[in-house]
Amino acid sequence: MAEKVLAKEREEEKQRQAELIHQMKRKNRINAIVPFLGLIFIILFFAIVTGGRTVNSSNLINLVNQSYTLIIVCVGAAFVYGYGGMDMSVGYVQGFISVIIAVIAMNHGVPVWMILPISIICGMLISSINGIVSVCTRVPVFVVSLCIMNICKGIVATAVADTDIYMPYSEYSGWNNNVLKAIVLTVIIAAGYYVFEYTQIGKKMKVMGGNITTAKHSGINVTKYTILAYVIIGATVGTVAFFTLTRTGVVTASTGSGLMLDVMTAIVLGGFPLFGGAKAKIRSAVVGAVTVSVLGNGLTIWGLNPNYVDGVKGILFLIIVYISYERKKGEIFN
Amino acid sequence: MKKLLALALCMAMTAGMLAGCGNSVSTSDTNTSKSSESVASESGTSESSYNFDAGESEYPSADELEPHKIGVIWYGYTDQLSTSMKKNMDYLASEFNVELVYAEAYLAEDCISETENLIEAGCEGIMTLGLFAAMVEKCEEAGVYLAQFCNVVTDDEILGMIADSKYFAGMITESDVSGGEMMVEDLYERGCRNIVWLSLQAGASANHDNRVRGIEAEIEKYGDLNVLATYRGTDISEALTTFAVTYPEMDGILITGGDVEEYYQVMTSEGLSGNVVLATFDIGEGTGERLESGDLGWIAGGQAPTSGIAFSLLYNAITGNKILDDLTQPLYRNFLILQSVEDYDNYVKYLEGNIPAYTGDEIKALIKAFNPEADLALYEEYNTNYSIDDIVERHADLFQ
Repeated sequence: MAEKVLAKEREEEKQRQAELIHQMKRKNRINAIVPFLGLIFIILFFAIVTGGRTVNSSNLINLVNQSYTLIIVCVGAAFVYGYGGMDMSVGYVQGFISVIIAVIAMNHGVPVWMILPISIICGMLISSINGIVSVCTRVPVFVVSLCIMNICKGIVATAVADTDIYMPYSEYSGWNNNVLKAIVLTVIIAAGYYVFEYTQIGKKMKVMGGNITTAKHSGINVTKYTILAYVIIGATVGTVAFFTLTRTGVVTASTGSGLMLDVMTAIVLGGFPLFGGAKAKIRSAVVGAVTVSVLGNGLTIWGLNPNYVDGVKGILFLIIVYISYERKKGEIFN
Repeated sequence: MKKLLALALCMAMTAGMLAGCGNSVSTSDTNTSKSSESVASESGTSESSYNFDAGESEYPSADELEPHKIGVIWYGYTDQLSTSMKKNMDYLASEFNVELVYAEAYLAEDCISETENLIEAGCEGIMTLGLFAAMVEKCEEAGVYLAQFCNVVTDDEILGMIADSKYFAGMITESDVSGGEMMVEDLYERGCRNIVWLSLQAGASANHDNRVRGIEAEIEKYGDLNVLATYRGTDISEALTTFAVTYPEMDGILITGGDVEEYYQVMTSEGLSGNVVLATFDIGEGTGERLESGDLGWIAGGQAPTSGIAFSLLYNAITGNKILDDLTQPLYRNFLILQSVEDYDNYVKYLEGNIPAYTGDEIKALIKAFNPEADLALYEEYNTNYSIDDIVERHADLFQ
């Protein structure tokens, strides 16, 4: 009799566990989808209001062209924001790198294929200054990156004081190639995803974002990983500087100036935790970047009166964040 | 389920709210009496549209014209110049049965992206402030006409692309260099000998850079004109405050434009009023009082109607007519120069009021499809005659 009761209780316990596992799996499935809901909403919204213009093949190619810059930098930014850092300098670092590679390309006869690695190396070196100065001087990285931003801005302004720097567009336009961009984009997202989610580098940076003191006490070399985060974002900014230059063919005093705000908007819209930690995911940064690009693209094709654009943009932002955030626990779905 | 419900509700709320926003400026309902009241009723505000009776017209009315779709790429739509430009463009759209799609972009990357978006939106032509090689290339591939206004291209490679382009309609801008020269000349004639000049950071704006070139070239001509200090950057008001304290002998200020109301305030707060004369660009609030008090000697503006001339170049191209033989040569227009209270009163009455600088008929006269006599000479006549006196002469009867 007692055995039967025990067996029944075991059976009930098993059922309860199975139910819990089922609920957890269901929740995980929902949590995996929710960050994409905002993006899906915005794509559907513009597809409806533009009569499908935004989802035709030619516009999808445009979207790759328009979003790849932001996606690439957001992949790099995930490492910086993931460890709890911030980089205000990305835009003007891009401008500075553009000046360097434009001058090298035009005055030193360097082959075009060598410009991309040079650009990436320049990005890694310049951006790493943020991390190095911050850890050496213990000045908050936010302040350091603000200073680097101003230094780069000043250099770019001086370089283009007399005239904007024009690259020979026809010589470089072959590199402004959609297939090449798609390959580069895929490689960078895949590499970023792997390193951030599955290697010690990403995991340690997330621990630092969760609690820097705990990270130090658990033996993580905080200095090394802080600098590494800026080296990684620098590599992505260098990549972007090259491809942007092949697309625009010009360096002006404003080159890159809008990038920092776009990156921050994308990070927030994608539901990436601004102070990093375990919930930081590469996919959030990528989704945010694509969302920002879809929004810009869709609003123009929709042909909305410019007086209403900012208001509508604000409402759409709110809806996207509403859909993508789990307010009950004050957390972000990830 | 809750999420889906929230999504559905949000979509419904947004759709409801946007129902009143309408689409871009579609103007097929413009009537034949040549009144622009339809524009006013469409936007719902009298300030954002013109309201006058142009009388009988010798040209076809909007509803007799084939509809077209044109995109506009501009740096923003909130400051005074931009709102005036948009008001002018909306009016012309109503006169020509054109649907306008506005895009906001200033950076090269954004201008190229917006060109792609406008092509995707189905525009037959694009008017743009910034022009880059990829834009020419994309418009050429898509068979979309392109015109540049309020700025000109200087790069040889882009000029080469333009020269070979089937779809480039032309470039038109104000003569910034001569504007810079004129402001120096004016201050010199007023007896100013110790001046400062201030401008935006080099490279930030081609217009401001050209004005500086004009200032520097003109200053060279006067041996006894002493330049106390110069400033290039974004904090012009702060720099002006510093100059006011540092150089008490200063008697003239040249500024290449920006927020003139701030400059007027600095002149008052730093005690410059009555002792120093300002020459600047971009007409704003308080200009009338400053011209009256003598604080302001010379101010240039009136760029918004340039959009109308660019519109006519583009419309000519879309309707299969060519005006410019050499597309690499920009058309240059005068600025409107105000030097007295009377000038300012006329500016407010004839430029910022209910009548555009060029009526629909005046722009239609530039269109070969309506006026076979339209040619480069007529464009040059419009551009070189452009002044307060010219507008008063053309439009005085519209106030009767």
